[in-house]
Amino acid sequence: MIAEQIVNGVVLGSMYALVALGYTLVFGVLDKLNFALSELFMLGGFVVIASVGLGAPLWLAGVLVLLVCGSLGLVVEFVSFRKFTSPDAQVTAALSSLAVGLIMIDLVQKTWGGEPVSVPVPIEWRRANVAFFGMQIQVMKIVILVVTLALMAVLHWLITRTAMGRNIRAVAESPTFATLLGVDVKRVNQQTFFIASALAGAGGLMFSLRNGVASSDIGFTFGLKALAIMAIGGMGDLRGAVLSGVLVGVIESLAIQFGFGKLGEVIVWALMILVLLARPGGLFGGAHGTEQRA
Amino acid sequence: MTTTPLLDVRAIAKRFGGITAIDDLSISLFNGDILGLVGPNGAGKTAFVNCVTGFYTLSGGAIHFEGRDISALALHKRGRLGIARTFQNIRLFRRMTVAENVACALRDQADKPLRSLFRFGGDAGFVKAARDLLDRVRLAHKADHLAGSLPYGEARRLEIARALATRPKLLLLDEPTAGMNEEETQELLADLRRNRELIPSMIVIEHDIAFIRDVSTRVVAMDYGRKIAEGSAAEVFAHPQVVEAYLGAGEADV
Amino acid sequence: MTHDLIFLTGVNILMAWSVYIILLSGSLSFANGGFMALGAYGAGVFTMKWGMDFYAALALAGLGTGLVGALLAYPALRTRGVYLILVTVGLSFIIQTLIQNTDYVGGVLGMTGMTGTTNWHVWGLIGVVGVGLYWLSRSHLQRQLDAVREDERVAASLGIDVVYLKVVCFAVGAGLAAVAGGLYSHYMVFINPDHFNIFVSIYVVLYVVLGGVNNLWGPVIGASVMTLLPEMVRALQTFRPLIFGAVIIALLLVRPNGLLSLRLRTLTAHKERDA
Repeated sequence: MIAEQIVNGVVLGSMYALVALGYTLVFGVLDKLNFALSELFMLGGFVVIASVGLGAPLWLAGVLVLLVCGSLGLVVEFVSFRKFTSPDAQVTAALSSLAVGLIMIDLVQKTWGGEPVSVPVPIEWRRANVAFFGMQIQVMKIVILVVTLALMAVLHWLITRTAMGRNIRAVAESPTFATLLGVDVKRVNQQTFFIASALAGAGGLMFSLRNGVASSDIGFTFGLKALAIMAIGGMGDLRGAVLSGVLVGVIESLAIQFGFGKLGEVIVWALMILVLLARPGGLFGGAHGTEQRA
Repeated sequence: MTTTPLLDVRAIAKRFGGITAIDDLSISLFNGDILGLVGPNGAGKTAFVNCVTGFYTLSGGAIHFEGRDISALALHKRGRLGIARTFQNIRLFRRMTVAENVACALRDQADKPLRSLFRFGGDAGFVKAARDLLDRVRLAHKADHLAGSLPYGEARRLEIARALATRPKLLLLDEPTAGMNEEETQELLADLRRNRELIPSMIVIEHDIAFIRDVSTRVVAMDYGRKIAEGSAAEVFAHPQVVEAYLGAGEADV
Repeated sequence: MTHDLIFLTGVNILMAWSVYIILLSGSLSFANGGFMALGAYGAGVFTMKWGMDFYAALALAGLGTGLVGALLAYPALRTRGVYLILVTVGLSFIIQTLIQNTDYVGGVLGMTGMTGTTNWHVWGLIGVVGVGLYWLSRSHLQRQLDAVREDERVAASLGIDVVYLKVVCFAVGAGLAAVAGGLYSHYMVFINPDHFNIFVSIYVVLYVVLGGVNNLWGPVIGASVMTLLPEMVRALQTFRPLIFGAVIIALLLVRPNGLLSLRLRTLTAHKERDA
């Protein structure tokens, strides 16, 4: 039973991790918080509903989620971040992206109403189980894990193996230095926002598939937790985001298992505060410099 | 030399990841000294100012001020001890007025800021003190302008006035004449001379060799984060390593 | 109805000021909805369960929350700006979830029976806080806070104790939010944890941004407009988040310091020479 809860936690955590990866990518490159990511997570499920409604098969709907959410990320970058480049514009950019998020929620509610909307999931994904070390694991969960891992592998490849990834890493290290090396910082910002937003959308897609419904309030109830996960893993640390996503997912699942219910959420946020105070570089220690930018 | 130095920098180091900005640097400064700090770009001069004023934490070594170890002291405590600075890339409070920039740095009742809420006499003392300092750097006529609206040369002078408002024992100027023409440079030199009684000791970073010759009592040359020469201006600028560092770095740097 | 609206506007002005006071030192708090909850529930427990006097309950709730807020935020206030944003978002969730799980105050069902607040209390407090903020705006302290907001590292190098000022502002802001919460609960009679969710914190911050962060009237205007306008114009009610969000984005792009971005000077140095 506990083993199954841990598996559930890993599944949940892997979805969180996708959004946290988005947050940590943007923070690593721009040193800023993009609150709109939580709402792009929310939007993921609704893009699936819309595209399946228009007749697209589920796999195509999944691709569309990446494209639509990624493109919306470009809009967010243009509206809320392009103009606010200085280090002390952190607060302004955060507020602006928060306002974009509020608009997304409202638009979704105007289109689909405030109640959860069911997502078309193949019945056999929910019904069928696979035996694994004596546990019965829903096919759905395996699909989620496989897709999430695949996305993470692609991200890893993009960041470590491609010219784009090299530029992103250079800007994350030092924007001034990267500019001197001839890196187009604006372009890198756009690429980062596209990738981060697509990941958040994919996280939301998985989340709605798992729940069978998409709802307009999950941005704040679940998506915002990615903030805590990013901080626990170390802000700007991609590996940390994945590890702490899984950690948080497992903590929440076990909290429910042992009857603590929503108190699991308190543990997550309290853990974040503790990590920020005691180990600002993250629980897993791989984050970049802790020295303040002077 | 039996007296304690005002500033005693003992074998400090500053590293960023793998990059070394300062390595095993020792400098001491006595009350009344004006130290010129020269060297090519990237030699670690600004990093040195950042270490002394507390903008950077040291990676090694120690800094003593008036015989007291200040290596781990917070920024504002060093400011209160009497260390003030200006910035290579001017950092004024741009949305505040010129007079406010100076006034906010004035010492108030033993640095208990909340007490100013219980003073009912008004701001006359601050206004007078601020205007006096602005007069000293020829900016009184711009007192109520926004600091962000000042042209370059005036902004530099306001930064000096703001630093002087803290009544420093040691003033660190980071390239005060950068971007100025010959005439403005001479005026700034005159400003510093005129206000000598407010600046007991000073460290000046400059590329302008004539300026350093004029103003300093002693010169230290740096390269690659280390001290390569120390002495009078004549000695230092004749030092082969200094000549090489400057020529090697090329004119584009100066 | 109108009576309620006047009350609600007043509470929102107090809440906006509580954010404004924290913002004076350059920190942004998304926990003020949570502090409001602590005040609402705290004062409620003091009067209902401990039989305390209404005013004493308000004062204790305000002081206690201010103290707790400052203690929790102190470590984050010492580090970078975004850390405080994260910590306050966390506090908001933690406070709400803890109240939901505390049976002593009714859990998710809420708490009922608090009475005693009148509009006089709310608007009297607005008068007092307003005078205080006006007094502050003419002081040396305001000048130092402005310097901290402009560039905190430089302000510190001038000898200004930035962390101390930030902690004081945070404590006062948290305390004011708690008193506003106490007034709220003793007017509404019934409260539940949902009245104080993260949206409350976010909206109050946006009121301040809308009105302006540079003088004490900005938050008053922002809070009043955003409370009253939707009541008067039906269309605004339907599209409130949409229009609100769009206005905020446009405002940040055009006037990053808010509608009333005019900063009040703390001194005029040049008076007699203005010919």
